[in-house]
Amino acid sequence: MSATLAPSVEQRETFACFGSRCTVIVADPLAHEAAAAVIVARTRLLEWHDQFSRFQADSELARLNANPAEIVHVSAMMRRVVEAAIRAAESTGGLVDPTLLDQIEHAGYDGHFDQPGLPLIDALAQAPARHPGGPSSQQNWRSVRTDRRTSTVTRPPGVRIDPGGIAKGVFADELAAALATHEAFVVECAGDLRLGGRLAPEREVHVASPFDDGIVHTFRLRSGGVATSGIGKRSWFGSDGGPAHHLLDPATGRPAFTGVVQVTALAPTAMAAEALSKAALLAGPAEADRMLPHGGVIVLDDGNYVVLDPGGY
Amino acid sequence: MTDHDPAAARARGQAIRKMRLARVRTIRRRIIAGSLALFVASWLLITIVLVSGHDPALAKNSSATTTTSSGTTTTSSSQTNGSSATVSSVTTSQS
Repeated sequence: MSATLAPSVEQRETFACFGSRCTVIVADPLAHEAAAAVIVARTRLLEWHDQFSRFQADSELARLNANPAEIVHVSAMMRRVVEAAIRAAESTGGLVDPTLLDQIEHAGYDGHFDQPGLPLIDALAQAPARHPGGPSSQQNWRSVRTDRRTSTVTRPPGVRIDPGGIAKGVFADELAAALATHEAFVVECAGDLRLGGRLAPEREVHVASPFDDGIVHTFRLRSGGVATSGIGKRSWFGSDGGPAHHLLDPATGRPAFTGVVQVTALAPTAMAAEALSKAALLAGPAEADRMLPHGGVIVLDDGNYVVLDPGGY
Repeated sequence: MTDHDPAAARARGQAIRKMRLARVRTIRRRIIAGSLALFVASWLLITIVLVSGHDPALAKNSSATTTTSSGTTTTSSSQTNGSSATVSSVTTSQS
């Protein structure tokens, strides 16, 4: 009886991962079990970082992209991530495109990005005219296939895969399944967040501003996924002298300046939230809210923002 | 007259004593039975309360558990590691 009455204590750890920071929080009446779960989650995230880094030549993702064969045997997690990336492309009409690796490297994002980036205000002042993004005319993602039975990825030679933020969403969801038996948990993978647990207590989720890291809005959520995509960080001057960042418009293959600088999406899973947030940003101000059926926050480049209520979610 | 009959008076006295004794026994039995019933009822009540998990002596702890599990705080999302007895907030931002 005493074990069930012991007050739960949250164990929390924040650490460098995926070129950013990750946080794992686990609450359990048995503090040592919560602490052990945090350690296991951190270990898995760091392993996935090494496995899915496109900047490490020996990572599984780098080996997959370097493999000249059309059909490549991959790990279960790689197959799952590629499958999720294709699903994200399908569900967003190609706005989230996992086959733009050539374009992102050409834009200048070809290594670890550990600089502070351009101030968003300055980047926007020098950015080209705003226009909404669209799908690539080639739509190479349609040629990518996965096979669960054989655990393979099939794609035409030359089509390289960059799952980007979708992978982080999948990792958060994967850990969420493992942590579901604990009283409460949060897995935050560099902006992609999944929360829940047996009791799933209400928790404040702050949305940071892309301009000054102030708080734009606070949601009170018990479970589900939250993801934020934006152009406020990881930005640089491209070879043409103009501002560049890591979110490409698939239609042009160039950094997207749509009039939306950041979107936070709510969804049942972190993977879905990641796809929706990116698609809403690329869709531009006129269409962004249509991409957020579960709620979210849209920050425009003039500093104004729109909050869409979770609406029963 | 029977009033003056010592044997009859003795018999009447004995009868009265017997009646008194019987009354005392009855009262004593009732008191013992009542005490026993009260004792058993008390223990039954305590047992039921404990088994159902509502130990009054632990009520404060139980209440604290509920508070720490479901109460919201305005704690900012710190980057520190360790343990916390509150439901800490988290911040989502572009990575």
